[in-house]
Amino acid sequence: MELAVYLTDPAGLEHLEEALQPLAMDGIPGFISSVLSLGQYGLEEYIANGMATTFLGESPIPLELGRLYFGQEFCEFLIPTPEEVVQAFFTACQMGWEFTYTTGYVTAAGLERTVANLAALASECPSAEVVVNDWGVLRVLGRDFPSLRPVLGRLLVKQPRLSRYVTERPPVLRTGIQAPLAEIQSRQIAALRETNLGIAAYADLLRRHGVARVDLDPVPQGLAPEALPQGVALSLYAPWTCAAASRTCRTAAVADPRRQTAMPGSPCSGPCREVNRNRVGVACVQPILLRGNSAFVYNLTYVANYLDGSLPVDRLVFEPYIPL
Amino acid sequence: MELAIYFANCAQLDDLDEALRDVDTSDIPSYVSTIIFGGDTSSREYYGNLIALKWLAGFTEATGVAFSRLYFGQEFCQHLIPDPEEVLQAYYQARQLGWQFTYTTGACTDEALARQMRNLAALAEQDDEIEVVVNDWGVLHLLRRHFPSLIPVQGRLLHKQMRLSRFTTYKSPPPVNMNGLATPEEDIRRYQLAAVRDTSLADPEYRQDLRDLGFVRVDVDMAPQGLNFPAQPDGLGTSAYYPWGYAAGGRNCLTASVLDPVREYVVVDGPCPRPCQRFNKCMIKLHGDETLIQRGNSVFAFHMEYAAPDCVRAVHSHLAAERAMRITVGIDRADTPETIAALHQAGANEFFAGLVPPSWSEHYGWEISPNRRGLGGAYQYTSPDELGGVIACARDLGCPVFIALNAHSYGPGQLRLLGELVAASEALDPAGYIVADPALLVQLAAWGVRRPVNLSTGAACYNAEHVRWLAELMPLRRVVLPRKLALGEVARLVADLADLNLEFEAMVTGYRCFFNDEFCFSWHSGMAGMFCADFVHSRYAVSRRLSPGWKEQFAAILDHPTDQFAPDSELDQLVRAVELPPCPLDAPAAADRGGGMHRELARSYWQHCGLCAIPALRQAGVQVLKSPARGESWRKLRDVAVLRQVADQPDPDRDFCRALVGSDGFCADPANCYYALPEERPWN
Repeated sequence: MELAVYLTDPAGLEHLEEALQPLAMDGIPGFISSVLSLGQYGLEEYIANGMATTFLGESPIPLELGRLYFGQEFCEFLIPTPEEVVQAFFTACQMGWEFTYTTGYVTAAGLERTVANLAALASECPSAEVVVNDWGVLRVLGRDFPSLRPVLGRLLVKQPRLSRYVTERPPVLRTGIQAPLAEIQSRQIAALRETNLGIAAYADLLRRHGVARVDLDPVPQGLAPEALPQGVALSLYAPWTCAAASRTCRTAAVADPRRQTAMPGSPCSGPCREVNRNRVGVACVQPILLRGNSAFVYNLTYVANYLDGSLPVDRLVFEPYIPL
Repeated sequence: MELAIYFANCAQLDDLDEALRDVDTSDIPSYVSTIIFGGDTSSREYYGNLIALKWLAGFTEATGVAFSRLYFGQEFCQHLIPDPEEVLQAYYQARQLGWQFTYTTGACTDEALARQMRNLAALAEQDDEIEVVVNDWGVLHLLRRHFPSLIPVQGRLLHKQMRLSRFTTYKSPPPVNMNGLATPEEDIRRYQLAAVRDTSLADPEYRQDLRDLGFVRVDVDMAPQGLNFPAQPDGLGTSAYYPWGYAAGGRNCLTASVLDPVREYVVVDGPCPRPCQRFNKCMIKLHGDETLIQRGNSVFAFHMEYAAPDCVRAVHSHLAAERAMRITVGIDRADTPETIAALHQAGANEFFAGLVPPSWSEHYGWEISPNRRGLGGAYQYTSPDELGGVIACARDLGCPVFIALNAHSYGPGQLRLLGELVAASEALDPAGYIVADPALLVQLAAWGVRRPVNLSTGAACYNAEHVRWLAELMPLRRVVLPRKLALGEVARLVADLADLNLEFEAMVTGYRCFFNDEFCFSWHSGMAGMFCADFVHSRYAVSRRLSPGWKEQFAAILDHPTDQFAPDSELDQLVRAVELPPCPLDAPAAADRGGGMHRELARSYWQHCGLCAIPALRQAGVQVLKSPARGESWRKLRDVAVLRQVADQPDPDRDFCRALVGSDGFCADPANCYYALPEERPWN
């Protein structure tokens, strides 16, 4: 199984060793963990790093670190510069790794920056992978950079991540329904285990656009093997699944309050590089963090379900930190 | 939008009624019109008057906008500058009519500047908000130094965009001299066109300079090639002159030379006897792409079809207001032909609905919805017959009905029931479908469906390339804009897709979503709390992110856990390093002491509101406003009525919109706003 490490900026590259260094968290005394887990300190992300690095180190499946994911999926204000993309590519080369550039959903302004990065990447590494989370990026990629290899990003795979289906017996509104409850629940779970990737006409379309790999967020209900197209390779992100993304941003609002609820139309000053604004006093089954403009759920509890051989997963994309 | 009328002297003002009297040119027999207008280029001024009045009649009927300002003065010839008494007479006449007043000035020699000084002094004594159109930086200097109460407007002569010339053939390629050029001709042509659309008025820094100089508005002449503006409104208003645009002029004057021949070529000292007030001498140019007239010392072009709204859109012209915005309303099984008629009467132009027949709901329940409204049957039509009746009723009213098939993703296991649903929908002959999933687009095509598609907000149309990719899968009719676009981004997207002839729909009421609908991987159901609601109602804290070396710090803490509960321990240092003061945004809100209903009542009703943004959306090219009220029958009529009032108002300022909302406290909190608006409204 190929292991990729996913970083979003040059600072992350500089401290790659620390990001990957295992940190045993299981022996941590309760009186320490209770302090570290207090939401107002925003340390859950770091605790998760420790747990995930330990998980990787103890994986029963051999993992071979051989690829760098680099880029920005969730916020176009954080799109790296062409120089940073090239720097990341060279770092990967020095490590003897392959390179994957990640892109997000973008406005016209974000697309211009993405295209500049694709141009820089194509000149240095014509066969690099590009994770696509916007059909506009895929269109440009196919038209202007045909040597780069598109990977369908997780934001374009609309499988529900959370909410009702963290349990096997979700509550069902019975008003106006005659069918037995268990049957409805069973069919709902079955539907939620599928994605549109299993629709043949759509799979053909993706194939025609050069998509041979799909990146997935692991979800509690899992993915039905029979609803996948033939010949597609799958990657899994771990330990963070994106549960919801937004353009408005509570952290950006620290510097510009308008950004909490609307888009002012100007570049963000990027306070998320220094701080994060997250919920406090929240108790939930799975850790859910609001990092910058998006919410992420810790997913290692069900990653193992994807690695039993029933799915064509051949890559694990390790997120040492939430990729924002 | 404001409508002004422009006169150059008091005689014209005295004949205001005649200037505005409509004569139906279509009733003029050709043999008469040939005599009146045929061989005399000068007569085109009068023919232009009649044509413009036709436009004006249609405009005022559609918008209800009436004249509310008088422009008075002389831009083109300093020999025609009115005297102070005339200026005051014009001012008083305007005020008697209840109009605002704008005094126009031109380029001036020192002698003319002295005359303007007297006129400006007379106006400054009126203690009123009087605008002065400035076409000479010396006049601006006078204003700033001596008459700061007068409000400067940058005149069209200071805006140096090319008015005519090569790009009057904007629908056909202008000729390009390719001598010595290796670049493809088409590229050169494209660059040229882009260059002549681009002026200093597109430069935010220059516009800031203008504002710093005191300008509140710029007057422009419409040009065939259009005009670029900054994507985001910035507080500098724009006016456009109609129907005559200034193309060129001189101080020498063909008409003046009738009495003093030397004036045909050169400028002489001494006043002009003003023969232009009695007759006109002009070139004879009867044919050409544009209607030109030489009047006195200047040449004017009659604005042709390029001044129509589509072309004027790039100019922050108020003419765009004549395109009435349509309102689309979400309906459900509570909506019968009677309520449809009532909604139409209130201002709705079209409808959209979901169809979930028992074959679907008995299989998947309500939560797995084919249209992202998994809250129960009350949000849907559950019988094709019922929906068919409503579609037929709406069709009789001239209102299209779209069926929503806008789930973000359908799996292969759903295809059989989805196919049946599409077949049932096709039998109802809807206007089209609202779709988010590209897989459904290709599947619809495979099923032979040919109805045009409205791309749902769930299709995440943030850029033009994205839309073009989807447009290759199915014929598109409309893009429903994502909720979280800046107004400038909306304008950019609409402009970038101009060639596809798409409609654009925007949401301005209802729940704006904490996250992006299109990138939210949860959903609403009738039996469980909303994922986003937790985030809306949570408490928040800001913390500093850890610095490199944090693992070493963690390891030290874990190595010596019992040492940590002491001052300056590793854990103590860590907590102190990340802790930050509370963000002011997280402080409890003060009690609502504003007028109208309490903000929480308004929030419960409106949820979020973008009424104030409607002018900017209209300006950007959005044609359709959405009332997303499926399953909320109690609010539809009021929503539609309010949207209609704002959409039909040519100049719905914030006070107008806020009065409709009815809560000062709600409107005072920007968190309730759908869109971020600048403080000023430069589209006015």
